[in-house]
Amino acid sequence: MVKEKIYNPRKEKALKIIKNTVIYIIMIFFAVIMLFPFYWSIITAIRPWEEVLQVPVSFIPHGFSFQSFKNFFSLMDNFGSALGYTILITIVGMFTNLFFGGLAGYTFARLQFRGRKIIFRIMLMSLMLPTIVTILPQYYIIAKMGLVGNWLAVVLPGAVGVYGIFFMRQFFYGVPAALGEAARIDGAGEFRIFWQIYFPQVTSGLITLGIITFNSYWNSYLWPSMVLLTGDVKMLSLLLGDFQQLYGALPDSVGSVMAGAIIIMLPSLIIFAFLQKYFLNTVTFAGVKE
Amino acid sequence: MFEKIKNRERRKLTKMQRNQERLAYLFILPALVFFSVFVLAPIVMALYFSLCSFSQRNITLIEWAGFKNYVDIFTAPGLKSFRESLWHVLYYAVMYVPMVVVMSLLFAVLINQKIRGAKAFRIMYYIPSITSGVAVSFIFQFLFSAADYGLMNVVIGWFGGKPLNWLGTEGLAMFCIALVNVWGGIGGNMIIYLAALQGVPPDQVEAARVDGANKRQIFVHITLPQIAQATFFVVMMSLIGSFQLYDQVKIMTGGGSGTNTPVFQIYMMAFDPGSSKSGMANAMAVVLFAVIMIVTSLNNFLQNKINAKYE
Repeated sequence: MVKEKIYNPRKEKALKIIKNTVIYIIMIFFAVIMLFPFYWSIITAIRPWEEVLQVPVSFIPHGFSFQSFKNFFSLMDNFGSALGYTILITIVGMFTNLFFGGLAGYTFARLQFRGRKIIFRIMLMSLMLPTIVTILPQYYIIAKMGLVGNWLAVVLPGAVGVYGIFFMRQFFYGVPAALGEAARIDGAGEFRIFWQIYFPQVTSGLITLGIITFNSYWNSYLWPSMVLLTGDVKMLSLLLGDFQQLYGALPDSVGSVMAGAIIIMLPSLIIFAFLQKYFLNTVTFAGVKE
Repeated sequence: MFEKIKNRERRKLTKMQRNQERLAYLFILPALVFFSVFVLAPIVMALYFSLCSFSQRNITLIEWAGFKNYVDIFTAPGLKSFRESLWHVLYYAVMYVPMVVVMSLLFAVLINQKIRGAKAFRIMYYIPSITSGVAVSFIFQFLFSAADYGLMNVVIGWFGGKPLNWLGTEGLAMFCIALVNVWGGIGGNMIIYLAALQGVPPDQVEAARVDGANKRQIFVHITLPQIAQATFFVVMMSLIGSFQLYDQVKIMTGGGSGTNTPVFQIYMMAFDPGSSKSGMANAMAVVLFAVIMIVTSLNNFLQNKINAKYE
């Protein structure tokens, strides 16, 4: 006997509610996993030391103390200088990538010249290149320039990244070519067409690339640990790595290590919090066009 | 008379084009210079250096060594660690890549649901991806602590398990690092998958539904083949990343308990005050590159085969 499917609005609605509830439960479960480590580092950093090592573990802090933060700063004598250099390196690297990457991306997207395709293809291929192959010779080149121990050494190898050029090119394709043609007929110079007409049209791309390069410089670790191995210039990531190596094993400094982790994560998190809407939509868009 | 104007017009145009071309080269010049100095030249240099003997700390003294470095990194006494490190990253990749691919796709499917609040979940799932590898390693080192207050031990205690020395046990330590990087790697790959999912033509899904396909069939036979390009990209990038594992290892285990990776070895070889054998470090980098090329080509080959099956 064939079972007749009868449309029953009440039943359909109930099924939909059950289905959505299940999806929500799964999503909340994953959200807890994704965010819990942050919660745990924060409460570990702000609870008194005795509480950190207390068993059984309590998931809610009972006391509150700045002890861990104070201890962190008292043990880090050159925190200020490292913070300053990290900001300098990150900002300079971000702007060279946005400007020169934008300029090259625009040129590949909108200007005609011989070798355009082949040059771009060679650059694109290098995105698949593992960085480890080039990193030691890069050190050699930096050393020959006399820049070991200099903050510029951290900025230079990635100052005009291929990824940024590729990324910006996608956005310039989205701006109508007619815009530039009109300005060209009016006699505007090529650089002015780029700077005054096209550049302001791709702000969402610039913001997104800005966030990506900010994070990649701010969080870089292996390369700075090579070129800043000697000398007084340090980055926060290096300082924290050393701090953890020195004190991480002591049960007492768990809170201080967490305090350090929070401090180094904070700028990225704040920037993301403000610009996430921009960022996630743009990254999705750039992915579609790949 | 008319011809003349036309000719002049043409010449003017080509002159303008030539001018544009000159400027175009000027505009990409900075990019070209940086690309040549920091990407192209280093590739050639890596190959050359791998055949030389020198110290990273004293780069002026470079001597030709032939293939000695390549032989040494595999056979020199006390250097079986490089061979081991290659096995370690392979073990890591076998755990990490499938996990990150499946989880990223699952997360993308979830946030692609038409339900309220999906965007908020997208933000929450992405947050781990923007944070510093060093900071994340600190936090997870604490979570995986072997002590009683280590949270993973608390959790397995709830289920009656005995406390484990997570980061101090061979095999287990690398698994923990893989978990940490899956946690941190989902966000970016999820976005790539989300973009791919949004690009699946809805009429194809609708047509399959009308033909009586169930949800699972639609996912396997329509969605998965449609997003094959994204899968290929995610797998390849994850593979390339896997073989270059360093930050988390350096912080969480210091290379102990079977977590020693090739990049860790290369760094030690080149920069450890006691060692400074940069020729060998470069040879290791070239070997690692070759391994990555082989693995990614294999992936390429397999994906092409799978794609061909669906077409």
